[in-house]
Amino acid sequence: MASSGRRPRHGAKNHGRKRRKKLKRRTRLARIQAKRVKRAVRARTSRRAWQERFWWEQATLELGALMKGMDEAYPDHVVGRVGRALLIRLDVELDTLRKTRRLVVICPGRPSHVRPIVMVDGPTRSRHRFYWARPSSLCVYYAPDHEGLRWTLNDGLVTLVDLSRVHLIKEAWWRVTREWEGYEVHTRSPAGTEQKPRPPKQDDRRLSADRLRRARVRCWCGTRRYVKCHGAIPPEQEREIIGLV
Amino acid sequence: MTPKRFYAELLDKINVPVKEMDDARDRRRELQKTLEREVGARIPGTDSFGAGALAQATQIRPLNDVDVVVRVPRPLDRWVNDPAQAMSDVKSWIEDDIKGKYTFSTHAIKIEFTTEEFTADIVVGWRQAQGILLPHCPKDEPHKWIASDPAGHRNLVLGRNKEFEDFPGKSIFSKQIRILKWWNREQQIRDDQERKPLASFHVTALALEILTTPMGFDHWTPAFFAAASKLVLSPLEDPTGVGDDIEAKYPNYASARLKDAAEKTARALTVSEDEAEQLLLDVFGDPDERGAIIGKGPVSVSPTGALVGGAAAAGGRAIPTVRSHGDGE
Repeated sequence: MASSGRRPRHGAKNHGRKRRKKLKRRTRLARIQAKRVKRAVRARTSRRAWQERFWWEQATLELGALMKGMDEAYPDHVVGRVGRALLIRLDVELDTLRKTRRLVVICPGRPSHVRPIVMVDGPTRSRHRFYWARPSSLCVYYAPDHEGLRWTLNDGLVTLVDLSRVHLIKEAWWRVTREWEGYEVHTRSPAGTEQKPRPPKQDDRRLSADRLRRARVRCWCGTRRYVKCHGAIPPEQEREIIGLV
Repeated sequence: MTPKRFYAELLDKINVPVKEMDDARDRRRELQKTLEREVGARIPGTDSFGAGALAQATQIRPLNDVDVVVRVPRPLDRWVNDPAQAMSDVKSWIEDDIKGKYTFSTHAIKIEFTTEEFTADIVVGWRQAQGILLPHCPKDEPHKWIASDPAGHRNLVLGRNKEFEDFPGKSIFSKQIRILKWWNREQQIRDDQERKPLASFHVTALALEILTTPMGFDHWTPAFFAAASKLVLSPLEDPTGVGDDIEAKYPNYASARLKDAAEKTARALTVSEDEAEQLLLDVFGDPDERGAIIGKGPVSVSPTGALVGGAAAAGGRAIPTVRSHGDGE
């Protein structure tokens, strides 16, 4: 009998070799799986952390483009947050009308993707407004137009405020004279939201679907549905939260 | 600029262009012909006449509507207890001939034309010994016939023009009313709640009461404001004596605005030309300045932050041209 420590040569099965191989494979597999789980948990945690960040924390360059020039043009503006929306509140002068209005621009999402909502105090009867929320919002430009004929993020918030001022003067003139002197488009008032300006065609079969669609409109604060969110509180309170009072 | 020149330039800016007025009058004549034919076929003896600012030559920009009264000698039986039926019947008789969108207001049938910027208001009048009875059909109140004399009002204004025809200038009384209506609208647009100090007809009635001797606009205007600031605090009798007394909706507010305008326009006569111009601009505004901002031309922001019509100056910024969305209520 050899006592060299080496394995016998006579053909007996070497269970130990295969067992060791198996054990090695299992350990390796367990290590890889542990690594994968760890990576997945880390990814999930960081994705959730990313998603929980507000849009202006995710897209700092967009915020910069939006706010460019505001300190020089409108130094009295105040920036705040309601829900997941960025609110910029300021008082604007309506030239030739000798009055000022409180204007609030609400950005519920990235302004490159989500059209800002512009709300104002004062009379609300207008030829060009959205009325999906109780404080109505201005329809300053026609979204499907070419970018040369509408507001884009590159123009910045300063231009949006300038356009709103002109819009408010036109509205006041229209209320008094029934004349809208500027360029305008379409034969129906915007009856949807900023993101979907026109509701689906009126059809008896679609009335219930239309009602459902309206009930699902997202709140201006960017969190839940409007009817369950700021649409569920008294109108005066909503206006106070926005800063129109 | 002297006050005299200011008022002359203001009139140029607020007058409706002659072609537009002529088009509106032509359209009104067509309406009258159709009304007399269709209503006259059912009620013999029907006639019609133009009423309102266009007929009195007191129209200012923009020309929003033309007013026509179709006058019947006697109503149909079903109209007597239901004035709204009168409007409804007349509408059904004319809508095949006059194409447009028909709606009903408190007193009139309103027609929106597809080819015109202005609308037509057609009042169905029941002829009386003096004046007419016209439908009063507000939404939440009982309907009734009320007395008025639109033809009488028109004749009073045109008659006053004729009375003053020896004074330099044509139709000076109508022109003065235009200046006052512009002031009235300017106060409305400046007010936070957009309240109109006086109804347009109230302005005309006050002018008939106050402006009885011809003068230049520079003296007439402060005289009107001063007298009207007191008269507006109590009801004013209808100039023809037919309709109800005329009252301001907000007499104290109207009186305060009139008094302020009286002081400034009177002071403009005693100060230098530059100061006078500033005072009068304060009272009447500048139609061109506002027109440049709200019109279709370029608008920009000056270095001081004010909106101005025209291309951007150095240090200012241009506002892009955009198309507003929608077409009214």
